[in-house]
Amino acid sequence: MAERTYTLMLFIIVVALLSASLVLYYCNLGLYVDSSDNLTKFTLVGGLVLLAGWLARHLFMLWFSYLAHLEEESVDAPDFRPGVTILVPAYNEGLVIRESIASLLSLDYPDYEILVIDDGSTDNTYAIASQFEGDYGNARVRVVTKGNSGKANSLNVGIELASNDFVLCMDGDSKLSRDTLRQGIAHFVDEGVGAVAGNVKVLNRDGLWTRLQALEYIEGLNVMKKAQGYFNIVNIVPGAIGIFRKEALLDVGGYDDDTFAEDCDVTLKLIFEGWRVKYEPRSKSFTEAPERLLDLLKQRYRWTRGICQAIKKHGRLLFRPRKGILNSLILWYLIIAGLGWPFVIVSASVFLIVSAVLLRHASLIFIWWSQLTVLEMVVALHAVVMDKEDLGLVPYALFHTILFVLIINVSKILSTIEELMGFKMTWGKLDRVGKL
Amino acid sequence: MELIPVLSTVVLVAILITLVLAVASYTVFRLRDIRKRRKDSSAKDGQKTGPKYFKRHSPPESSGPGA
Repeated sequence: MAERTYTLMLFIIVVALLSASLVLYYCNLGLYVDSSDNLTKFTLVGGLVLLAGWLARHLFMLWFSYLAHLEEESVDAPDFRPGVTILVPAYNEGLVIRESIASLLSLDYPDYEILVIDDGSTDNTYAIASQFEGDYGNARVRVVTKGNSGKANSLNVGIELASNDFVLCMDGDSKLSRDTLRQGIAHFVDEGVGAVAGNVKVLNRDGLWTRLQALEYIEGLNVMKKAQGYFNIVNIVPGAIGIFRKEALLDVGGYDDDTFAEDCDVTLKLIFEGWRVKYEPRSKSFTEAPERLLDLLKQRYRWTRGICQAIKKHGRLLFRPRKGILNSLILWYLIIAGLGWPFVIVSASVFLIVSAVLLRHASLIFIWWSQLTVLEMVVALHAVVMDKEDLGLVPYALFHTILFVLIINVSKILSTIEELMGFKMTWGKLDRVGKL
Repeated sequence: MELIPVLSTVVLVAILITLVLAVASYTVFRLRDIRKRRKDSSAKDGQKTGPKYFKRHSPPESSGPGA
């Protein structure tokens, strides 16, 4: 109860601060900027609209994630413990597969099976994984190998071979928290729930880029998933952790390999078939994030183009909602937040720079940036506290707007243009450093 | 010297540098990716020139129905 009151108070403070900063922004402009000409007026109004849009998105996100947070405690089904098969597709994960399987063997769950699907690795992945085969009491380990055919096909093989009614799909380079299965499986008491998205955490937080990603996962991705979970329409069940009802996966024909974002694609297929998709923040997966900028761009390039492909694939449903209007809204959200918002942010930055140089209103940039950063820090604080995360990540919100968001958004725009122009692409597997 | 203009210039320059860095790093990443793809495909082409599973059979000179 005390935690609830604390979170509610924090939420009210966040809303008050966000609103106050918007008002301050408007009032402060008059002190530093002479708004007598039309270009300046346009810049001011544009900046205000952008800030209001940003605020609306975050308020929506914070409010509904808070409501979902309150519901969290009621999701518990101690008597519901069906068998679960954990699917671990692995392609050249020799550096991390041992740690990954070892961590899976220590999960706190009465009946589960670990099924490693070696996707034709050219390293020693299969040999290492095979050493674990056997019965461990509450857990069994099976390892199968096949020719290289991609992650989607490996998961389909796993779904077919799984001996339980529920499957947990994860990456070969990830680690799960001990109570992942116990917390996640409780949602399936509701027979309409087809999938539960887990909470992805960055494991290697030892550099600027990885810390910024850790904050982004908490503040941007997971808080939004929590808000979407309130409406049962989480738009992406992440590849690093997702629990599925096997019947639901079979209902939609499993994973397709016609997009580079098979996790987004399969989630949209489930939603459009009328299955509910929830989010469980206590089911955690720890994954290695790219440590170098070029690797980060490689990852985001694949995500962006994959999401574009998934939107194109399901595009016909944008104007013809199927099994509920909210299902179409989630597709619109993918377009606006994933592709439209980056265009707005980058063009606004360029426009502000041009306007500042032409009109000598550099102070306008400072006010705009400082307001965004203050808002970003407040939201980061709220997200970090709600997720019981490391408070040391909050100061990184300072670099988030000016460095991280801009770089990622530029890459999203360029990747989207490439996708629209039909450039060829490959999977682009990241090189592991083996920090699992 | 006033603080706001100084900070404004810092933010302005930081945004400019970030934009340049973003475009430059994306270009480098794409160029590397394209170069790697070309290298991989030329390696695959090289493999295709020889038989992968079968060795060409060349009968000894003394063999055959007329020997």
